[in-house]
Amino acid sequence: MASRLVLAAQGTPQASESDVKAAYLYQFTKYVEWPATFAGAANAITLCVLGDSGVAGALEKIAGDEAGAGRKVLVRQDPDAPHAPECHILFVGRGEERQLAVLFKTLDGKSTLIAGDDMSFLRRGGMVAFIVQDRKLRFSISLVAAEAAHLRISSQLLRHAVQVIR
Amino acid sequence: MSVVICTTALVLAGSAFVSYYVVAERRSITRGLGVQAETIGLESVSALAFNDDRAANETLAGLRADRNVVAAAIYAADGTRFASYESLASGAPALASTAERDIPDRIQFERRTARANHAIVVNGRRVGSVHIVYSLDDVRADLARFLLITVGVLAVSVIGALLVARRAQRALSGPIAHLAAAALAVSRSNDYRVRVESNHAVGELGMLIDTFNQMLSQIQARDHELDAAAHRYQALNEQLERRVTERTAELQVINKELEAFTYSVSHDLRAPLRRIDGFSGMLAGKYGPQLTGEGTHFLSRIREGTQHMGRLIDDLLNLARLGRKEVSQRATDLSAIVQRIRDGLSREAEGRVVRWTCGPLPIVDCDPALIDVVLTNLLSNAVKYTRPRAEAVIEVGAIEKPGAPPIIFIRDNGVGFSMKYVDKLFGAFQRLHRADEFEGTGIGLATVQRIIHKHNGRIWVDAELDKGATFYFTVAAGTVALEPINEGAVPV
Repeated sequence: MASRLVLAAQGTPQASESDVKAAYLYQFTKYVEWPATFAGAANAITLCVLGDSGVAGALEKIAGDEAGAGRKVLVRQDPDAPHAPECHILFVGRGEERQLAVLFKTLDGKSTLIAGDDMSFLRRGGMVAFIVQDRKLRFSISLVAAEAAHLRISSQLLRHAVQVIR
Repeated sequence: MSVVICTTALVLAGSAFVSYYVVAERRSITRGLGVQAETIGLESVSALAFNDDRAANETLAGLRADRNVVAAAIYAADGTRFASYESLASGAPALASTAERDIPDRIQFERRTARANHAIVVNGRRVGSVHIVYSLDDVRADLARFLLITVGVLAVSVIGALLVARRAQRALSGPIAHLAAAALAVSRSNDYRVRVESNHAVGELGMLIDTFNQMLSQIQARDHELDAAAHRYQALNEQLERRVTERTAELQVINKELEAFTYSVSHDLRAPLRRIDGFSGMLAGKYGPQLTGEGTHFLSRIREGTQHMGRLIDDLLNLARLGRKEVSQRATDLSAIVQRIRDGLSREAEGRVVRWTCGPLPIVDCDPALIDVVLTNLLSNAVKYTRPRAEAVIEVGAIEKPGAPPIIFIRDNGVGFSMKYVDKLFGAFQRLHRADEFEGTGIGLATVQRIIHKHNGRIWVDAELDKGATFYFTVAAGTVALEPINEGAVPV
């Protein structure tokens, strides 16, 4: 797995994979619509990271940069299971797969967008999976899982997905 | 002139149309490119966010619909080229591999292309930029066509205007030029036989030419009449002059005869008169004491009569002599003559109060002996006709005006006369007073007038009964000098 990626969006050309992932995660919030029944705060965006502290750190940085522009961004690392449904997006880092079963169970029927790595993550019930293609970080989306969570994903976002599972 | 105005107007109108076309096209391109760039920018936000150059390229490929877009690119926030599009038709105009950062939104027009730059901004943050290169070839081709049409219309219009102007020239300017030339010829040569041809002229111009010709005809007719009248007048004049000359000659002959007659009669009368005078004198001397008082009275009346007749004959002889006498002119000092006459007259007026006022008199060119006669007559008349006055006032002077001969005047405060009889004044044997009032022969003023006329002068009189009389005369022969100041002003 390449640790350095060509990054065209925000950040420097030397951005790490974690930075890119964090940037994508933040961008997802602009293309996803959460239902009114969402358990978390409505006036802020809560981004949670399980494991991967690199991504969490990058998100903190983005939250700092974006402060004042649009909605407030909150970043939480390793949230408790009861608080997990309050996350708008939950990113599951590598090596946290063992918690997945519990996690999916907790978030079943909740409207949290769950993102992780590899296509296999989608098969397990994730909604967004980061994959690397042509030395670029890309993503696939499971529309089935997203619809189950009552999330509406913009066609704009779907357009950029490598694969969309319907 | 009108062609120039037409052409100028057309050129201006054409220029205005072309300018408007260029401005309108520019505005339309600016608006269109702006909208395109903004649309692409909006559609590329997510592609930039997710580093999806494929999607961005697809978006750009949509520009294919507009064949004028030759190239386009999306640059990332750091200026690297993120996606690009180049039309197949284009000769691949250079697309920068990196974009300048922070260049403002703008559309630049170059010779053959317009370049649009548009920043993609999300939440106040610049996330990238769009660059579109738009070919102006179509617009230029349209403009060229438009220009060609405009120039074509212009050329056709100008040629048309020229043709119309030439026809107008033939129909208008030509006849006017003819007219002007004819008018000039007439005014220069006074030849009223000239006529202007009006073959091409129509309407008002034709009327003008016809009127001009009519006017010339009328002037010609007038001219003829005038000439005829002038000839008649001249003939009449010549005839008249001839008659005057003839009459003058006749008159001169008669006058000469009359003078000769007068002279010879007067001369012949003298001898018997002298005998009457002589013998009556001897009678009075020798037999006077023997005569009765009545006889003596008769004899003295006879003697008075003979003496009066003697004076008459002398005067008549003088008058008659004047007709023969040539005027011999020379510069004559009138003052000296007046002075001498005055001295002679004062003896005559002894015992009377006579106040003389003699102004300066000029020196004139005249016959001194004849002028002496004139002045003697006039002055002695003045002394004679002031006799009833307690104080006689006699004034002699000269009135001088530059450019005219001096006027000599003799004024008295005597008995004068009514101007009714002024015509008789200068006639021979004509008297306005009775002989027992004022003695005289009635020949004096006739002689005076004769002398003045012989000098080409003029004599006239201004008088009023009981108020006195003023005699004026000029001697036209001229003045030599009076005072230096008058020298130049008086004709000689």
